[in-house]
Amino acid sequence: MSENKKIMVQKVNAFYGAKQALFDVNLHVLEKEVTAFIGPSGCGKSTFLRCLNRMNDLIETFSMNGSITIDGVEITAKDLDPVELRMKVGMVFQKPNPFPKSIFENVAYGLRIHGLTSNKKELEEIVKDCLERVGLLGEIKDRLHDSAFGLSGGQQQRLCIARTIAIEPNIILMDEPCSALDPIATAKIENLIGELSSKYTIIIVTHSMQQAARVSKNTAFFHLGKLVEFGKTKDIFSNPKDKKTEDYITGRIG
Amino acid sequence: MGIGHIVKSYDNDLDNLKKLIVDMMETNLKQLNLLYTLLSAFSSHTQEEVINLDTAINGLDAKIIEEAIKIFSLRNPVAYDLRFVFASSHVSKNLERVGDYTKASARYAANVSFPDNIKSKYLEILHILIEMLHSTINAFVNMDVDLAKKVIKTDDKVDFLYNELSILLLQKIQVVPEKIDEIRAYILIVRNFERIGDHIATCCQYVNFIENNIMIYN
Repeated sequence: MSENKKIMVQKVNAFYGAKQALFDVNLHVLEKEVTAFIGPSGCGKSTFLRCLNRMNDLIETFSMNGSITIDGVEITAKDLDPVELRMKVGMVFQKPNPFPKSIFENVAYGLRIHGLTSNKKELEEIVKDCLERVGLLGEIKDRLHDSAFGLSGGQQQRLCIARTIAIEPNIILMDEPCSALDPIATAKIENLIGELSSKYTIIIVTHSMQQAARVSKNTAFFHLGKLVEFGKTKDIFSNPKDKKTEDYITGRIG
Repeated sequence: MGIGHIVKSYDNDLDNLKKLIVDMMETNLKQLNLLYTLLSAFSSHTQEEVINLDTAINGLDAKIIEEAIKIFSLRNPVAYDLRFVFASSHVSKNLERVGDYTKASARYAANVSFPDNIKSKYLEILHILIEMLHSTINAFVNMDVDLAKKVIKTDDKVDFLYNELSILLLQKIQVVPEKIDEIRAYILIVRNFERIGDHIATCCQYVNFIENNIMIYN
């Protein structure tokens, strides 16, 4: 088991205009482990997640300070290309968002625009491999060139994960990836998260306490923009140190 | 826990579980008090009451396990709540054993005619057990870890008296071997008392587990 600190976060404050959304967040994320961010709505967990691939840059009023390093590289630096960063830090969103293209093209698209394949045969091999790794190939092998919108919600989400891993990121951010899915599709995604964690560092934001407990090795609890508690998931859910964490996970505060 | 759950019915479920445990402890207490009366002066009516109470205790155990399973499956308890529900099912099992040992002791009591010097020792141990269980009820109701620790410590005294009495009884077998069946009954009763002490102490260990996530073993 790796104990490398893949992401180091120090004294991160974030703002939407004058409103402060994150307060002095300090955290580290271990390589090739699943880390869950939990907390009530508006606690800052998604804001923080989006700091990790600079998605918040797209919001005009957003500003932040502090330090975030990935593999020792400061990612908040102004001269760092966010597009390059997002190749290394992929993201899966709450609602499956396939491109209005075929299943094949959804996975091939990123490979093409980043010039990651040299010929058609290699492209096909990578696309099929990615679809296989997310458990989708067997289900759709005869429909590779059909529209991705014809897939079920769970299949679309796995397609989005296949699209993410196609460009070989190091880190995958997942922002409530199962909230729009039924229990079976959720179980498949959770199983996939477990399998992917041997190769990728995964951070998942979830409102489901049980999901955090099932899929993650480490859990961070946010409340009112502050990181209240961070530790091993088994400790957080069996014997949290902070009263606020205990009250939240047991359903006493929201 | 200081504040209640957002979902009030979850609090009701946990309160109900706690009430069932307390009901069970009070039934055990009643049974032990009746055993004390029985050993003081044997009566078949009292013996029957002690034996019948075990059926009620078994029923409460079944109800507690059913409630615990319901909470596990419907509420997915975590942290304090998880420890409480988990511990409640274990406390219930320990109390169920207390009921069994008390019932068995009442059955053996029909076969013995205690000499006064021996009877006083049995009643002394039984009195300690009754006090232990009484304190356990208070410790569980108030989640009083200090009181629970005192009960656990008191079990050492039960163990000491058990050892003392066992040695005395084994010596007695050598002196009056013709009374071996009766002395065997004495030994089994005091052995049951020792086991009752252990089970009550274990219930108190779970009070500390619920509050502090630690089991105390002595």
